Amino acid sequence: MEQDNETDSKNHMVINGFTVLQTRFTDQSKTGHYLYVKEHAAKDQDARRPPERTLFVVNIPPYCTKESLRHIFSRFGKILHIHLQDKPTKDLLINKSQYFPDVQLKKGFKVGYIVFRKPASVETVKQLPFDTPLVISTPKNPVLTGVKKWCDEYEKSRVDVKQLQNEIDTYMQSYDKLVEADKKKALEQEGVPDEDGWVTVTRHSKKNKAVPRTEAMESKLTEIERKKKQNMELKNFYTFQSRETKRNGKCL
Amino acid sequence: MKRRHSNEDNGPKDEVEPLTEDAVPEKKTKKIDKGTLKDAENLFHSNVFKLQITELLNEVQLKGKRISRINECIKDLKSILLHLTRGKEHDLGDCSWLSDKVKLPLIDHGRTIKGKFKFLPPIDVQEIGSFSTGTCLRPNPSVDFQLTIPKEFFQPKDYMNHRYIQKRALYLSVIALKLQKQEAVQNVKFSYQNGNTLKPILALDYKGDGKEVTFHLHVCPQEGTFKYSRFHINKNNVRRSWFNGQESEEVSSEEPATPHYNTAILQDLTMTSNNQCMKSALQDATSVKEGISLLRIWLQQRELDIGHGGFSGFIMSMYVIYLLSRRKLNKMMSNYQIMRNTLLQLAKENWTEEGPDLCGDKSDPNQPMTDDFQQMFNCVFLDLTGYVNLCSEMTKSTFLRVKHEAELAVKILEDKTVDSFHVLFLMSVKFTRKFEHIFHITCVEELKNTVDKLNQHDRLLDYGGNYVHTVIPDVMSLLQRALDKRIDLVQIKQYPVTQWDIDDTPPSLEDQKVTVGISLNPEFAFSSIDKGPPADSPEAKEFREFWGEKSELRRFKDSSITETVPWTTEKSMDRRRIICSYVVKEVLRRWAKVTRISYIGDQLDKVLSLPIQSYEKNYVYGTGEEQHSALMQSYDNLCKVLRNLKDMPLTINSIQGTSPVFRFTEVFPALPATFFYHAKESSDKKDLRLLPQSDKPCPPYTAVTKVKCLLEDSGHWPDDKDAFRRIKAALHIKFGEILSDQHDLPVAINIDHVDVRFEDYVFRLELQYLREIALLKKVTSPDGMVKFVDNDEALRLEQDIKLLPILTSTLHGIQQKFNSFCGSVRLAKRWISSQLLADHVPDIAVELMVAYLYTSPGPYTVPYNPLTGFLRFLHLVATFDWKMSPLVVNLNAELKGEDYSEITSHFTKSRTSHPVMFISTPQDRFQSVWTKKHPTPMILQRLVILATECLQIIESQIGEIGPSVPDFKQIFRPAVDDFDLLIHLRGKQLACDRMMIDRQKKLYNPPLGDSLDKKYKTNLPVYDYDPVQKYLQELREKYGNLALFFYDRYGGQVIGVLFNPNAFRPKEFSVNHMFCRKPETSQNGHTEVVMKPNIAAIREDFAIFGEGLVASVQMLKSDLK
Repeated sequence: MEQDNETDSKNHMVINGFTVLQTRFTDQSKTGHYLYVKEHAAKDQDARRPPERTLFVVNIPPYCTKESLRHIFSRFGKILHIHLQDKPTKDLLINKSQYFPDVQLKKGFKVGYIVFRKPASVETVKQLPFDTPLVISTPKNPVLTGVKKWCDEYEKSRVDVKQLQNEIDTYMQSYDKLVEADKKKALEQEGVPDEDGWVTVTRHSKKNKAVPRTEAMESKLTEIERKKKQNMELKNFYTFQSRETKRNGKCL
Repeated sequence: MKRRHSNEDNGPKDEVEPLTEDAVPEKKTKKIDKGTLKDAENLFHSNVFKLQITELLNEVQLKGKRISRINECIKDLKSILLHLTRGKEHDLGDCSWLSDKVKLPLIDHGRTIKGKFKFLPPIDVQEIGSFSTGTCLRPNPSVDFQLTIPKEFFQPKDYMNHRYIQKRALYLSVIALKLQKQEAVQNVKFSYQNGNTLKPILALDYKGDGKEVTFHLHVCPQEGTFKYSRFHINKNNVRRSWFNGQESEEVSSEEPATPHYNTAILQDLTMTSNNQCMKSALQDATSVKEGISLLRIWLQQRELDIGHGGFSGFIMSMYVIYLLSRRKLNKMMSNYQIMRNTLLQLAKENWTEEGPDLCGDKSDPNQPMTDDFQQMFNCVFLDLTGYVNLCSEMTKSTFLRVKHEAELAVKILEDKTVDSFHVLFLMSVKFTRKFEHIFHITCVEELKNTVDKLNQHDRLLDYGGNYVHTVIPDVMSLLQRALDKRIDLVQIKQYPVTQWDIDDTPPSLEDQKVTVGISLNPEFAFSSIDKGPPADSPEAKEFREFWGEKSELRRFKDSSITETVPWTTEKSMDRRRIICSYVVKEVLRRWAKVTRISYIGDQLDKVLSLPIQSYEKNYVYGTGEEQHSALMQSYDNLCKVLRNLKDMPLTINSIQGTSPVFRFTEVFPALPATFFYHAKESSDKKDLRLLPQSDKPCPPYTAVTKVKCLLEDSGHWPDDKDAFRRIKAALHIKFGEILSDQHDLPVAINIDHVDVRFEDYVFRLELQYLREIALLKKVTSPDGMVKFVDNDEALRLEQDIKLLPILTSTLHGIQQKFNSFCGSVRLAKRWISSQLLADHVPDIAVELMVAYLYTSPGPYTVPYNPLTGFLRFLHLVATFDWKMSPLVVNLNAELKGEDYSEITSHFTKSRTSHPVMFISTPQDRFQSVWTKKHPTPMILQRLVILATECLQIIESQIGEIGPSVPDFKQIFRPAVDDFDLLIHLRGKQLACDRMMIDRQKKLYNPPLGDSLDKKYKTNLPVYDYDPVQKYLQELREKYGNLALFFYDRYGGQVIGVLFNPNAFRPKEFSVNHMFCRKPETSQNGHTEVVMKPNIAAIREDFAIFGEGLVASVQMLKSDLK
């Protein structure tokens, strides 16, 4: 491993390009976790994470939410977005629905992408000194933990039925439209050969309904084919064949 | 495979006919193979069984080298004994001339004994018993020696008044004294022959060239010293006047017969001939000898062959010889057949009514009548001479136990689904695990009163003053009569015969242990009254006399009026289970004047009970069985409501409860939710739930009871996974609204369930549709082919809505059949939780393990007491070979013999890919779905160790006879020293605090059914809210890869944390190794940055996440770096 461990006069620590920062849960805490920050650099361009303006933060403690990150880092410049992920990924995983999450985020330590408005903010963070820790839960912006948090969660766990129903309705409307369009397309295409002259049959077809193409069906078909082939084969036709079967004692 | 087996099969055959071994060339043996294989199938249970027997016999039989060593020792000791010098003549009554190094091995009775004693060396020394016939068992073989005392040693009337007994004991003392001087002789001790306190024997170790050999020295008079007829069982040989210490020696005409005294002497007299008979009968009969060895192992595993009145190996051998003489067995039979047929015969016979008789020659006119024997003794087995009853000391109850075991054994041999070899010969059947109820007579001296009460002074004289042996048969028959239909078996425990140093006095009678085991008959054992005969019948008087003031006249619904003994008015199951103890105590107090007994049966009930007060008058919690039923009742009512709902978009096809409470296996079933303490109403008017408050103590835990509702088939469900979920959520909304509109029930609607408060319980209703499983498995490949691939989510759903309902109804069925199932499972679950392993061992796995004890009770019968079930559970966990065999739980007896072998072969073929704990059921034969992820090998190992330790502790507690009551809760307190870190919790935030093992009284405990709570009738209580569970969940989500967390979910006050050592190694600096770590420079040669876990911060995190709940975080191991 390369030796590029610098500790310069301003007491800021950089290892392998990562600036190391300390955190404290409250200002009374004696110890805390370390954050490792760096500007985001990826080969692929991603509009949501512009490289020069995005700060890549590793080892964000679990109690640290988007809101608390915003509070900590907004004093270095205006923040546009914060994305939290389980681990560094190529694509950001973002949930579209409130009630039906399609991505399950783990609740452990996280990596974060903080998108500032100005590239300068990233630089400021990178120059932060090692010995002044960042405080996560301040009296002004407290982070709820323990019994308080669970009571709060219990209270908020109620599902707003109206909102839920609305979400379902809009989703189902678009789903129904999709299905309808599919059907329409299938009906339109019925009997119309494509470039190579193939005709696609679907289960919406009127004349000859297609059998669903499943694995079970496929194996059933191959089995039928195999049997057909077997039946075509001539047994005990040639003399040597009948002699063989007799020898094997299989002849009736 | 077969080839190899049959080769091994040849083993024993070669032993029988050693000549053929050299003679038969290689080619011939191959031909024989098929024959032996066929033989094995015919002559044995199965091929494997034969192999197992051969293997076992090899293990227990002495090897040739050892035998020759022992024979050398025998030769040496014989010559020493034969060359002992004569002694001087002494007065028989005065033992002062014996040196201090030896004390007379008889209990001092203070009566004078006349006569002269002069030591003469034995004229003959013979080895007798199991070693001489080759049926003795390793690992502790002992050689029995019979020393023949010359005729001149005795005087004519020595048979009278214990003179013979005294002489015999003195003779042994002198031998002991003389042998002790020998260098090779060690550990010289006295013991009793079969526990008979009149007949001491000498035990010693003789050290020859190799390992020392244990010898037991018996003495007997020379043939012809006394006439047999002198000891006819109807004759008296101990005079009353002498026994009572009167001077005059006149013979009154009505002296009582002394059958036991007579038999004791006769046994010595006939020892030679009986042993001769055994030797000659077993000569050249290898398979018979092996059969006897098997039977002796069988007895040994059941602890039946030891102690006073036991079914000794000698009796068993004689019985086999008897059967040989009766042509029930023959010498051509294989060892398996000998064993099986003997058991079969034993199961059929009843020696208490008509015993076997070895004596073929009935010409002797002086011989006692068989009827006389039946009258004098409990059990009868006549020896070769026709004068001696070999079972003179055996009580009826002991024989019935042997018979019961034989019946069981025959049944087990017939059952193809049981590994009968393992069950019969390898599993030890301990007294504590066999009997549901056990009691000790704590003060044996009280039995003296019994002699007076039952007026058994003549018997006392017969037994030479041993009042314990005198009254035991009577006590047993009293118990039998009193308990009657309530029990299947009652047996006195066979304690091993004591040994003591020769310079000590023999242990006094008060030190004897009297322990009785009771096996319950579930049909009657729990009825609260004993119905006697009708009031006007002649038996009524007898009944009244027996029960005294306890008996009263009662009129029953069928208009019969009978004598009745009411035992209790309490209805709860926990009280009714222990009714037998009332019966035992009453009958012993009334008829035996025994008051001090310690009764074991309900000692663990308190672990399952709750300290509940209720405003309802007749509310009884007991051990929770009633609460289960109450909850089920509410569930049934709920089902009615659900079935009759109107306007449901889809009808509900079936309703299935899946919570443990529906299997009767919930350790603490949900209580009526009338706890509204420390809760507040929501500010949101639509929210009917009460809410917990962070600044108040946690409300008592209210569990939700899960109910699955399967919907009817419909073509309208979408084919898309996401659309499906949304439609399901929409259905739940509709369902919840209907429930609240049509029945005015308080509901809380969720995406995948509806919580409803119904009759004071909170139910969680889930709508399910079976096709969802297929939908989750569906994968469309890029070329448009549809495949069904198993995945975690789908499997979980399948378990939840397909397997669990079936299992739930099956286990419920077991509870209906055997009502102790509920208690046993809950004890087992509670124990696992109290050892902090509840979250690491799946509940269903525990339930299945206990169910196994009921579906395959093995060498026992089904346990009808939770305590016994629990003990057997511990034993199962501790001894089951998890590595090599699957635990097959034959629910509903669906599996047959072939299925078992199929499962086993499937299991062994791919052992490594299966979970460490493999449990197979008829629904899930080859997967063991419930133990897929847990327990891990480490947890299983810990579980096995804990089970072994705890079983030992609790069994010794049960066996303890003493004034102090052992603390049975001990095994429910965990050891926390092994953890790296402990998190102590604050009592106020424990939702389950009333379930604590050691609960402090001062803790807050609101009563049930508070009338003040009426105003909350339309609310849902705070439910499914346990701060500790929330905390644990957070810890596991966040630090699950770094540490394991252990907690007792039933009111534990501490969380144990074990760090994963692998996760704590220093790693190089890279993005993947940054989580929860801090940089440090390592100092090995040159400075290098490594990432080390930030333990200080983790420790602080534990406190941060548990704010308000955590009292302190304590580091136990400081060497974590």
